[in-house]
Amino acid sequence: MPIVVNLDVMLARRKMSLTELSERVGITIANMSILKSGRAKAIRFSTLEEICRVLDCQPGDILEYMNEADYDRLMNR
Amino acid sequence: MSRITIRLIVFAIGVVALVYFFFLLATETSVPSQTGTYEVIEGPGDTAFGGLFSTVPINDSLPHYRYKLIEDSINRVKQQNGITDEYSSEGFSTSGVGTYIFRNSPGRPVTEYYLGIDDYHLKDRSSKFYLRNGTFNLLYTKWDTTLPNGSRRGHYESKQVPVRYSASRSTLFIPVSENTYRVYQVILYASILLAATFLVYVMLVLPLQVILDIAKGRAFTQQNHKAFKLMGITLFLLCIFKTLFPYIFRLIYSSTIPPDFESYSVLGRLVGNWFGFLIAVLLFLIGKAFQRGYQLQQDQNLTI
Repeated sequence: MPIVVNLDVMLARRKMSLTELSERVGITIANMSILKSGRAKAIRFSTLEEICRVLDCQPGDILEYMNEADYDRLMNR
Repeated sequence: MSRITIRLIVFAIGVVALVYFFFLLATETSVPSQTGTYEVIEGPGDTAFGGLFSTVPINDSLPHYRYKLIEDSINRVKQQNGITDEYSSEGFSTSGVGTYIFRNSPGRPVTEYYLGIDDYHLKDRSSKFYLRNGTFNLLYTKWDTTLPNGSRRGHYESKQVPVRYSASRSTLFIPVSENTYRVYQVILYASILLAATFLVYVMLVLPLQVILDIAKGRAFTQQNHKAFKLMGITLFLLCIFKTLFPYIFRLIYSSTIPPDFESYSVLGRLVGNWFGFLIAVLLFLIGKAFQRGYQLQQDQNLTI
């Protein structure tokens, strides 16, 4: 899926762990892992809103569109 | 599978069924279209077959001893000529084929072994099978004259046939050796055992697993949609097997079975099992629905 979730970058900038983010957003660490690893099929606006609120960022800061070739390269396929 | 594809499939099945129905109507020949009466004249002495074919009328107004004398003489004809159309057997059958033992038939060996194939009937419905002095015979109508008004007259003739027949069971019994009987028995028992084991798993264990999963709130799982598909495929194959199994033996013994006996065509038997096929298709379609549900469930699970 060519939509990449760049949570790592924002977590590093805000010096926050994934566990803390999941607790503050209110979703399980397992689901947060799925989101971070790119296995998620979809994200609810409510979840995106909470993540942006906790990380104090815009949706574009954590969601990025890549073309297929770049995405495959990223995923080392 | 898209909705349009499903509708096309259903429409095609409906058209095929309708065409076959009209085909059956068009080829139905059980009642002749000619007018006139059909009169069959039995050979000299209508007790020649001991009242085998029809009840010999005895005058009810005769004194009892005279009535009894005539009745006894009819039975004596049967006994003297060894005529009988009643006999008992032991055996079992499955999917239209069975193995049987006949004991103490008049004029026959004490113990006889047969392979029985179901769903047979006489082409000429006025014919009759009977035993006479230990031989298998067929009483059939031979038409002598056809009158201008369509009426026909004829008489009964008899001929020997190599097989035994039961009209009440619609079963043809083919004589086999004891060894062949044992081999067929083993084959039938083995097939029943295998089929029963598989069916118990597919038709009992799998549905229970599905029901338990649904009760636990895990309806749309990979196991469940595969279970429904397996049930549908199994039932479909079972219907095909039930239809074709007797035909294997009919082919093997095609040279032994006289042309006076006929059975349903393969297509007729397939249509006869239509309900099983319908349930099989429904189970398969439910499996497809559960597969779609599983996909949606996966998407839902991966929606954060």
